[in-house]
Amino acid sequence: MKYIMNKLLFPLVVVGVVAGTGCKKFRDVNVDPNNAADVSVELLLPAAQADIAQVYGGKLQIIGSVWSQYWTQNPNASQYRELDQYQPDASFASNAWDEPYSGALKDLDQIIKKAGTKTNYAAIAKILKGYTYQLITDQFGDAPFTEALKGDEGITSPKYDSQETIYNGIIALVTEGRDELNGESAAPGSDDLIYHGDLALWQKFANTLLLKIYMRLSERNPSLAQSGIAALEATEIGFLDEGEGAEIHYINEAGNFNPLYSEMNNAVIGGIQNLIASKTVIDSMLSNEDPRIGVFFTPVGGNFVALEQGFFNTSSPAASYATPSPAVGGDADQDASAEAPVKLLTTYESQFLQAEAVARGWLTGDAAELFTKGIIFNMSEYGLGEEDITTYLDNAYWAQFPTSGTTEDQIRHIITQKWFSMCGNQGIEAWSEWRRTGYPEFFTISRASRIGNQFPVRLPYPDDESSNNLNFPGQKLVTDKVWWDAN
Amino acid sequence: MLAVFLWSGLQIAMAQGRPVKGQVLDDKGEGIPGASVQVKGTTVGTITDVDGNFSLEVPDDQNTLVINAIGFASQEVLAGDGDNALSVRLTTTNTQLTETVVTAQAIRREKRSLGYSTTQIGSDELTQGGSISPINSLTGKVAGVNITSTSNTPGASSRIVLRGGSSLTGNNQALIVVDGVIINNNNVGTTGNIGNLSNQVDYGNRGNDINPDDIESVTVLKGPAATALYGSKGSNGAIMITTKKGKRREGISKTEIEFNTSYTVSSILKFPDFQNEYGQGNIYEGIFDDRRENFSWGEPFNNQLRPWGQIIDGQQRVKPYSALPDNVRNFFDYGKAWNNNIAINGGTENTAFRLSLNALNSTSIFPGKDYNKYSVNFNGNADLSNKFYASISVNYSKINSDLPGFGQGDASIIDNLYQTPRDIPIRELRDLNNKFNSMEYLDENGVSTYGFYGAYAKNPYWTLENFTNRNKVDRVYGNVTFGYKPLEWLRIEDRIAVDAYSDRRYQSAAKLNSVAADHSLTWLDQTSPGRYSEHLINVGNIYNDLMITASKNFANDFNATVLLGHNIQQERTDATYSSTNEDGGLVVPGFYDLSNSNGKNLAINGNTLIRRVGIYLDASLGYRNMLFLGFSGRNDWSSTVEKSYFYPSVNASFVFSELFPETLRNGIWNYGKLRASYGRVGNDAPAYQWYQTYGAAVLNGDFGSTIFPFTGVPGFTYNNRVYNPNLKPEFSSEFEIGTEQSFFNDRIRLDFAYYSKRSEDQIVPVSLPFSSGFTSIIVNAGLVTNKGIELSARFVPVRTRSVRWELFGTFTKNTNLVEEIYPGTNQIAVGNAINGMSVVAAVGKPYGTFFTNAYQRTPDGRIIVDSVSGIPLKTSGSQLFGTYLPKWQASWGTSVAYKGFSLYVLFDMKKGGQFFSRTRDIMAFVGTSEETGNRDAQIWPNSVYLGSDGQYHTNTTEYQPYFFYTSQASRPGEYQLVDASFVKLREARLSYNVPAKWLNHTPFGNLSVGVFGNNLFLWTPDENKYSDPELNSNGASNLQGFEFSASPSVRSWGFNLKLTF
Repeated sequence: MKYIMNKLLFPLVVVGVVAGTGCKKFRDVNVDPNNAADVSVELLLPAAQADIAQVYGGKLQIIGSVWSQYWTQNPNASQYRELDQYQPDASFASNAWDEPYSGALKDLDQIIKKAGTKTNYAAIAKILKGYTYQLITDQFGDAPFTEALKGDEGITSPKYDSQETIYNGIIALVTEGRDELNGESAAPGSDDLIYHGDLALWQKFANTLLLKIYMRLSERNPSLAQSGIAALEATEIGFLDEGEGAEIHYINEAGNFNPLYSEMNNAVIGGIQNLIASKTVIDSMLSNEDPRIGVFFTPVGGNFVALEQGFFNTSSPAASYATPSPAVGGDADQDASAEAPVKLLTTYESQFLQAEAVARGWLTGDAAELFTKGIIFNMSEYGLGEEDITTYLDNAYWAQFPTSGTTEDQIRHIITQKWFSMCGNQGIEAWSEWRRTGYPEFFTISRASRIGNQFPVRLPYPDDESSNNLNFPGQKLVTDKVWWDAN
Repeated sequence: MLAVFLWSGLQIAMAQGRPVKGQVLDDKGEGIPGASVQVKGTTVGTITDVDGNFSLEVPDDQNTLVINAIGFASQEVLAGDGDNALSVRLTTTNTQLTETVVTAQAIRREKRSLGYSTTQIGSDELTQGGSISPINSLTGKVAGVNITSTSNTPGASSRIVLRGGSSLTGNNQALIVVDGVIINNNNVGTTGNIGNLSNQVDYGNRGNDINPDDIESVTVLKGPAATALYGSKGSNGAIMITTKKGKRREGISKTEIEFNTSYTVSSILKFPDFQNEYGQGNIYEGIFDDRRENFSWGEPFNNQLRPWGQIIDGQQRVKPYSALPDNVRNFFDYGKAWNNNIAINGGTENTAFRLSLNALNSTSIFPGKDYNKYSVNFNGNADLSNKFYASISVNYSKINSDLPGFGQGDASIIDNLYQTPRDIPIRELRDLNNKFNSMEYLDENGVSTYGFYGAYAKNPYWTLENFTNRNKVDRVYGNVTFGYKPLEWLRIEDRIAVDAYSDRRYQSAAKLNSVAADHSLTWLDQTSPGRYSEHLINVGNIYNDLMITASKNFANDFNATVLLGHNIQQERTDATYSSTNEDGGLVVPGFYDLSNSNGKNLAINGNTLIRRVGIYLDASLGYRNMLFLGFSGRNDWSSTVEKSYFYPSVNASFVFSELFPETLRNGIWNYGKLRASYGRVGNDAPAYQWYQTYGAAVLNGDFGSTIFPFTGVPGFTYNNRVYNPNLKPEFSSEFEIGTEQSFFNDRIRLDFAYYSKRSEDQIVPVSLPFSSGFTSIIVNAGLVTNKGIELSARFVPVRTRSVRWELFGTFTKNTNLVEEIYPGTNQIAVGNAINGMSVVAAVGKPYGTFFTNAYQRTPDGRIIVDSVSGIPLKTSGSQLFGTYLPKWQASWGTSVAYKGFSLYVLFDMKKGGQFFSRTRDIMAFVGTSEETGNRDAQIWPNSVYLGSDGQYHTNTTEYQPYFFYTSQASRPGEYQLVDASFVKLREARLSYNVPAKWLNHTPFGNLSVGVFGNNLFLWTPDENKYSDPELNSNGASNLQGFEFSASPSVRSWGFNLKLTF
């Protein structure tokens, strides 16, 4: 035994010591060469902005525009049948939850943490965080907010906050961001894809966003909405006006396509035109002789033939129906679709929000004038000439503001007109406003409904939450209203 | 070089000598057939015939014969002058007494001394079945081994798991070791957005690069007690391959040449069952004659002439409207493979070498696709003076192939074929110059036009020609060993080994933009963006082992062996994946180059470097050749975990039959051994899991994505994993007991094992809810257990002079359970979800459980249907279903040897488990599967609906099968799960050894011919009308049971010839 000790264990110990200490440097190779260890906020901001647009202009555009009855599934394909069936899988809408949380919001959070003296970056990030959280909670209801985005701080199962908490939170965030914008500090440049560093526009964006947020509470908490809007008016910052819309522009180069166009024009879907015109919007545009019909839709043989919502079990071939137009990125066949901008907050939306606030008596101004400006901004932004606009303003039923009507009449006109203006370009916002106000009133139950005579009013949570979050509160039905949906 | 050896071989064999005859007898005086008789120190030799007789020419200068026969002790006799016939009696040896096996670090040990389970397979058993995959050739031959052979075609992936998978997301396959050196068995998928979904190509796993003809034997070491010396890499058990070496010979240098050739033909083993009642069309939407369709939802067949396809230049083709039951089958060619191997081996007293050359040329069942592999293997060893010795082993192999594509989409031939209407004569679409078949001809106006019959599919022959997946692999592995033996009992050895390969994958997909020739219907344009990608993978691994071995007998009854070692490992991978823009495709059609990208190129680096240092000790002590104790221990330092870690193993073997009286031992109970072992293995982390990082932003929609730089502006995003610098090594531990027994003169042999394995604190990326801002966190978590039994048995009912009949079988039952994962996480995805289907490890379930949505059911299990349509409703969330793992598996077979003939048959089966069949889904959608032949309105069996009173009522509403099948969104993922049980006739072969006496006057020493088949027949449950359940779209990865329009498997048969001279 002594022999073994001397001859064998001793070398073992020696080798062990050498291996344990001398090889430290040899082993020190565990730094990832494929990824950057750190980047500046200037690189995070554009990624976060484009990510919001990716969701808003992509998956949410499709869901919103089908459920706002602008579009419906074409009869020869099947990609979005479950939307018209009102039974989207938990996985169907997951992109609208997963991408903002793990993409935009997390990067915005990083900007706030890393900004240091670049305070305007942090301010813009806070405003955009508010915008993004509203997108999430409007579609899904309760969601992680106070504990969200802290996976790297040990919170791997963030608790769900009520929609009310989230609304209070985003009001505070956006207000804080707006007030921290400071011309004396460095402003972003081309890395700000939306306003190229124009801080005054960011202030207006923040105010308009707050107006949108407060207005969403009109049925649930009108007094908060009223006082909040009064405070916005008091800042004298104003709201987004002509030419001041928040947009992201795309180019006809794969990888930089409009998100809706890229949902269709990729190697998997291969340019199949799943989405075609819904009879709901086409009929109402035709009866109003709305010139926007030719802006938002591509006719077939000069005709705007539309399919009844959800009637994909028809024998008529898909190619006989009008399709969404290149102006909204919805025509898979036309390259111009690739360049359609994603409009996050529009000038006309700003006018309609103000008009409604005035109509409710929460803001001073001329509701009729704001209403008309909304129509004009919308039509001219999409290239319609003065003649078209004037004819429409003079003749169309939905263009006649009921100045002497009841507040409800006025709201009915404002929201319905807003619905026309958002056709295929802000589909998800139009759907939220329909849920809030019930306008337009002429939606029809999809022919393919699997939930009987009801409309869907929310999106199901993705499976990742139920599988991986200890605090998951349970799946909801598409017919369960969100908190602010009080009517 | 070859010619010289060949010539000298002939010269030696034909040298002048004297004839010597004789007979080899066993201890009962009966002739021993098949014994080898060799002139000592030469290659001159022969084999005895059925009666044990032999005759050969003994060179004049030689006088000693060496006689060898299996089961008998080797014996030398004097040849004499040839006047008298010799009579040689051999004495039997109990094979289990002397059997040796190769253990960790290529240490050869007596099997009796090992306290853990080992199984050794010889070269003939591996190669005679004609399999060119060394992994597949083990199927059914070893208990406790789960091999999934996927398509069984040359170069295809195969997965080998011992005693059940235990790592939640890491590697679960056995380590492959060749002559003591770790061999890379990577199975790298090609990434990229559509790489995973729409363009699946099976590039195989690198373990299959080993040429079976170079293998002398394979030993399977199942538990960590056996493999602790390989460190973390051995935690899943090991396949120890020993290659053939040159033979040392006394006297002058001699060489022997061995030539093997085999020719194999293959065809698809299992097609889906098709319906043959309805053809092209979609009458349910009121279109009775839709010539564009790939739907078979048309009218019932009426056998009347009917035009089909497009009207081109006023002409249209006409055919009877009848079923073509074999239209899909007729598309395929027979696969053909020719495998040639020539080996030269030679040696002197102090040196020996073997050089082997191999060429495998094969063509696929997919017309025009091929796979070719060439390899050279050289082994040499020499004893130098001054007690030094050295050896070298080098293997170079080259693969050159063009592989078919699978999955969903344009590149997938299978996806296209299974959707073809039942009346379309696919084989007639071959001539692409015929306008009616063409996808792209120029019309009179110079417009690219297609005349192909369908608007929703592409001509599969065009796809074959225009979509290529070329693969080139160059690989070198080998080792150099230097040793010094200062004393008889002491050896110091250093071995440096290198395994380096370059795997280049070039994928081309055609850009297409054609309008229909016909304008009578609204035809769709046929478009495809095209694509070109390169995936370059360079792997270089270096291992060095310094080992000191001491072995000594002392105190008469004891033997001790101690091995002390030091090990350095460096594993480096440099990989680049780049492609033209996934969505924009190519600019110029037909030009396949990365510069030809319409939009931004995609480029992804995957470079990793891991280094490890370890020291290890292996000691064993034997007492009176009866009681053995073994111990091993290892300490590792790794670049991927901060702290060093130690792990030990112990094993004991007790050959209790040594205590039996001689009469018992030589009679009914020849051998008995009990063994027990316990081992623990530590494992380190994957590379780069310590620090948070940022990557260039790629923002994903459901399909398209935004890639930065965006309109010229660069953008980065915070990565989605939460990293962890405090990772500890993970450990798995295993306990095993077993016994080996032999009865009735070795006519019955049994080996039984029970094991229990725990794998805990695994280093695992746990899925996080996206609301945490991250998608995963790397932590030490989880507990997976595997418990099981393994039984293997051999029975020899007949053993006479001329006939030997043997029966054998194995049984394996492994129970796998995921016991814990991580607080808040019930499950981890094993692979990406596709079509709403994912494979997960979920707490309380076995590894590899399917997770998808289900039919809505009442608490008592009845299906809830929609009261209006009568179609079942599906759940909105997902549920857990069965696992891809079998409940148990078994194999059985027989072999009969009669005179020079030998027959071998092997069946194997797996019972239980499920697989995901996209084939079922897609065939239902288009109405080509057998189940869609029943098209009458019908009531869903045992169904209810939810009434307005909130109660369930028996459903009486009939549903239209058309609406159920054609609405993929209305069918739950559950629909696509199919029972994966099967029985296969895995291997059957018949060979004939030409008697030595017929070869006496030829230059040949040994000649055998044979026919073989593998994967010959498959039996599946009635429920599986779709495919071989072994198919898998994800190669040898953990994501198994996933048939996403995967490569079909083949049966193959052929003949082989072996000769030596």
